[in-house]
Amino acid sequence: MATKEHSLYKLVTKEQAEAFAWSFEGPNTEALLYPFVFPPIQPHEVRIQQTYFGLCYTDCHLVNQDWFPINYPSVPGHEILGHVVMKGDQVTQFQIGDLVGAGFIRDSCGNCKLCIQGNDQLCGQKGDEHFIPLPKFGGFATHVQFPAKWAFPIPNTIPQHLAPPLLCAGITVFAPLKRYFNPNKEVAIIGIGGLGHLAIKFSAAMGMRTSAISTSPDKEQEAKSYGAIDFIVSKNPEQMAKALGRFDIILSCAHASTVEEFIDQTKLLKNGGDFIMVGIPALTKVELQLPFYSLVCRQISFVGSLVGSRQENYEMIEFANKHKIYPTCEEYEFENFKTAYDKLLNGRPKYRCVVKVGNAPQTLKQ
Amino acid sequence: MQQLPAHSVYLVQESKETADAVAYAFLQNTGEPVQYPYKYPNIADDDVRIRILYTGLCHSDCLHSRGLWDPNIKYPSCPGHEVVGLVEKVGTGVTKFKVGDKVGCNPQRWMCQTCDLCKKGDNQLCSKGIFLYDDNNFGGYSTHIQVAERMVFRIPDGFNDALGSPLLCAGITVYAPLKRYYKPNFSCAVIGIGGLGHLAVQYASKLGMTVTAFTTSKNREQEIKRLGASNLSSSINVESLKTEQGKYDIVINTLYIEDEEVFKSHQRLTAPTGTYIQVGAPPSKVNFKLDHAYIILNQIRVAGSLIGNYDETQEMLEFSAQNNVYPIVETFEFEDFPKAFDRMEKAQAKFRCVVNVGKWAQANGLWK
Repeated sequence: MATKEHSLYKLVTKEQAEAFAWSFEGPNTEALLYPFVFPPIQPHEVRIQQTYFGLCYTDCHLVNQDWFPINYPSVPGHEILGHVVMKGDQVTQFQIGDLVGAGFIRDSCGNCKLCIQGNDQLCGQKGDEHFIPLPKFGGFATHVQFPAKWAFPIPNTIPQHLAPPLLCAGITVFAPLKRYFNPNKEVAIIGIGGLGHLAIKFSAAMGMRTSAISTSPDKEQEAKSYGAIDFIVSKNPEQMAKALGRFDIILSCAHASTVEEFIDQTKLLKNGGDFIMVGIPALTKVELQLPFYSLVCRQISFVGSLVGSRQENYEMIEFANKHKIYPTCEEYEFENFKTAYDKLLNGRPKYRCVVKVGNAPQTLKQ
Repeated sequence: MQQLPAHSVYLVQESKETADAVAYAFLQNTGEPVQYPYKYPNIADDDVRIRILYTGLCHSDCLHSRGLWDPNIKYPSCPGHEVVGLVEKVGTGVTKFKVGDKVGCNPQRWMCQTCDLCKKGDNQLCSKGIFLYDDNNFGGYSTHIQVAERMVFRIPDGFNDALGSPLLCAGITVYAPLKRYYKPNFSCAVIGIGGLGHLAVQYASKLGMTVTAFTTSKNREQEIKRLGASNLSSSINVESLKTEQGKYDIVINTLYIEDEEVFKSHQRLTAPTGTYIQVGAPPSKVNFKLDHAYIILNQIRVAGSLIGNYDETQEMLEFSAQNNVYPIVETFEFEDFPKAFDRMEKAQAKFRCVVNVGKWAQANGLWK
């Protein structure tokens, strides 16, 4: 049971709790059950009772302070799915009972240049309120409370036990693929994991010729079942040599483990091509670099992408629904959250861990 | 006169009297270039032979001829890729140019026109592209140059020949990526106000952008503002660079800075969704370290750029003539080629060295 209290979420007894979270009281520690009551709901907020939620490695990075120091207790989690059980007075777009999802972004101002241009995920005006997983409580809980603006209606045709990872992994790969889309482009997805397997599906469904690049030769059948037209084993020098300069777009969904590996990946890009980066590794990991000569004389670009805007989220949900693009998930009960988290942190889930909230809000009170 | 070594393509002559052209060639990786009279073995069907009026000197000439890029470089080596001249002779298949036309040559000697990249229009990335130094062809440090028609540019009317030759390399190097990524309302940061940078400031401001010049130089405020910059800022002071973080929609970096923290600060000048362009390159095989966290969190593009394609180059020449964009040059006589090279090699030139080739060539009977 949790002992450290968060200033906003009153730590109470199980019987008194409105909701239960899994909180971390320090880096590299086990999650502790945190029964709590919410602060009063604000006029622009909704409170969601989750049906399922997803776990993403970014949550591990945050908890373990891989990027920057954080305050504890911390309840990260940002692949949220559930029903609206309470809403503030100003919320008109949702009714109680609506099924909604949410991802990494908690809030945006709506008035700055980035917001108005349609890049509201990059809004810099909201300080501490920018991201869902911290410093406020995020998705590793039975309930989440956040601005309705960043809640997305989820059609009931998407299986709920598979939906949550779309709200982070899904949008993370969908948005840049759509941004750099061209029907004539050759696309390579590096890494067939949580992000990569969805990227192959999205890219192929968009009609682009998509190849998968993996360290594991035994993922070939699987990659092709997702729509990949070709499969390259990155540890196979012959296959890599054949693919030199082949791709207009490379979407990297796995961190290179050495500088040489990264440079080898960039060699697969055509002159003038785009290398899309979405994953931020721990700061102690490989420093991404390449010869100046390659960058300048081959005229290649490295482009970053951070989840997606609200508009892009709406489009991604619609697209995934239409093409039946769902992640492959491992399901865990809410009470076994620690097992799910440990699998993510230390194991190799295939490919996303999803927690079923189910009756936990009731059963945990006893 | 010393005994000159033979060349695999050109027929060395004892004196200029029998020569088609006189080059300034390097005989080894050290020392000064020397006069090298030669005859062309032939003129191919699609070749254009050009009487050079002016040649610009570019720092990559040093990197090439001193063997810094390719230690196995063959000598004699005659670099130079910023040429303005007059057509002297054309091959039997040439249709775009006639004798007397005023033309220019840039660093690229050949494009295949059949590969994907050429067809898309990006011939500077052509997989079979040949640049003026490759195959040991002679470049612009000469009274003449002979290039395939497809890589020769028309010099527009009203172009300032005496100033304009560096545009064929330095000019296009900054013009092409600025044009590729800019919008007229953008704020633009130009890092390094040297040969490339002082042209970038002019182009960026003529394109309508608000330009901040990042430089180490002191006491150049008036001059840099006259080129079109609205503001100046330090290119190496990390504290100062931090205050400029995220402010520029388009950043063009003409420098290579060894200090990692400074170099990352350059990338961080880029505004969210903006573009950072790298055109400056170091001589040795160093790596560009990507500030990947900043790139991802701000959704920016870090782009390399190599000269420009044919259309961009032609457009740049016309834009420059119409908008009066020219480099600030130091001009040398042909016989002072070694002096010009030395000044450029020591990075003392302000900002580009140009050699008045035509004057000497004509006076010495090389326009036959």
